[in-house]
Amino acid sequence: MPVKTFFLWFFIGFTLQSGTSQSNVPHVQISYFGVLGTHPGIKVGIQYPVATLNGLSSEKQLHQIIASPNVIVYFHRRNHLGVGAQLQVGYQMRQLRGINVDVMAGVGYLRTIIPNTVYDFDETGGPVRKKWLGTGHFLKTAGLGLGKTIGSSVDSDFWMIRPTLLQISPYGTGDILNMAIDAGYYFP
Amino acid sequence: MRGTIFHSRTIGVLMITLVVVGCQRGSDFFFVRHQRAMMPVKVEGNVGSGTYLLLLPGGPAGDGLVNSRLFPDFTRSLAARYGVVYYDQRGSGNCRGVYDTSSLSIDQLVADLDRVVQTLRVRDPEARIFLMGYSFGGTLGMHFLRKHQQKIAGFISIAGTFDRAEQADHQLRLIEYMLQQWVANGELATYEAMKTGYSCTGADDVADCRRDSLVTVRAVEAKLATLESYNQISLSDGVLWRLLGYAFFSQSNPITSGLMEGQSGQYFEGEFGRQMITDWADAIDLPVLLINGRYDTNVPFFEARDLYERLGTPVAQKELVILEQSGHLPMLTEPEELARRIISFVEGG
Repeated sequence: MPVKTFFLWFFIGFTLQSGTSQSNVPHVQISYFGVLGTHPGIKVGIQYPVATLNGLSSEKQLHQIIASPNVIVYFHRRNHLGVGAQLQVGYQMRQLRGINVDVMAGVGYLRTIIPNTVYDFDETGGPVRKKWLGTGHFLKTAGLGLGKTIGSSVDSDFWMIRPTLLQISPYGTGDILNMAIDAGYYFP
Repeated sequence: MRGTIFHSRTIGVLMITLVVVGCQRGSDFFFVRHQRAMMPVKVEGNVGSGTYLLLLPGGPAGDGLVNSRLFPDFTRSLAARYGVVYYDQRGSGNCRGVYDTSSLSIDQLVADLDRVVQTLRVRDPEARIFLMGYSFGGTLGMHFLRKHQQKIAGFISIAGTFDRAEQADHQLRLIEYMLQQWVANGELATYEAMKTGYSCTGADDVADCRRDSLVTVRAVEAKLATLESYNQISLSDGVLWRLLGYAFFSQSNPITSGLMEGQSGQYFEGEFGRQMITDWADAIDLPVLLINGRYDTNVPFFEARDLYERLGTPVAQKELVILEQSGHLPMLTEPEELARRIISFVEGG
């Protein structure tokens, strides 16, 4: 079921994009993606403007629906290495002066890998030393971003800092929440 | 120019040294996977001694690894002599994996703990392993001993819970005990007004009696409040900084750890609440050290005293210690004395 939902989001995202007149160029995103802020990672993606809600009427402010497929890699020492892909969709307001704001929600797949030795009793009954044991998870994210445009046009480079809540399932006996800081630079 | 090159090299060497020193680890870290739970295990201290103290944390579903950071005055003394082992049980801390709620039982924790013990033996075949159970860890430790005591050199209980079914009775006993002590020490004139059914009706001077009763009640309340200071973690003395360091710069994740405790703890509560370990404690006959704080309002020292009487362990090999300046957190209130008692026990003294 999670896989179906994931592809549904992708489908909706790209259908919206192709069916709407594109008012702005896509932006490449490169982010520091720190779980709890301090466990470092990187997030790379492309931010597509799916729809511009205020048309082309303003050169100083944009209200857009955004779709952003991206990949995430982060490392929490002695805990896990996370590798994931997700599609984020949301609303973004960018302006030449003042603060940019966005609200993004995403779904995707996250693989968590244990970088330490695992003494595994599950397969043979006795401890077998293993490394890089991984688990697949369905990932849901929600983030609220604040940032600033750099340059003379609303389509210029900009940066956003987006505290992001991650819901990871399955995990333990159900699911679990985590938090990350997504501090990204975006350029056309 | 030459000076610049020299300085650059010096800075370079210093940076490399810092990185190398920074990457050196004073502990070993691995995971144990058993029945779909992947439990993180941290071993630190003097593993060359061949003696290991395996900490069973409080809870149920309490974070185990946090203990390696929270009580440095206590754990440092132990780690200087022995290997100290911390782990996160299934349903707690940063235990990974995907497993069913039906596996959240004391029997399953015992089976998991057995695999942790086996792993320590795989890594060190001559390992001499002591279990060191704190609070709920006392319950888990005793259940482990019931099945596997031959695998363990000894058991240390710190504020261990054994007869949870009678905990409320023990707490009332403690209050009664403290009232008697305060009267005996002259700190309190009387505590008649605290007794059930006490009434001023029929007193020579009813108004006087009521005034005295109020004074007594207030005095007792104030004294009981002082007991709580022995049972609470104060965020002074660097505890807050250690917690923040643990939260953001360690293997742990306080968000997942806190949520796991909330989600999983409830599944243990029913079973935990029915525990009457003294009923079968005579089956245990290995060396046991029971340590409790005199003012432990959570797990009153009567539990340890009752268990001490019921253990099958020969008198020469069992010991009951009541710490006079402690409540439920002797690792904070009397860390040196606590460590000294444990070391003495492990050394066979």
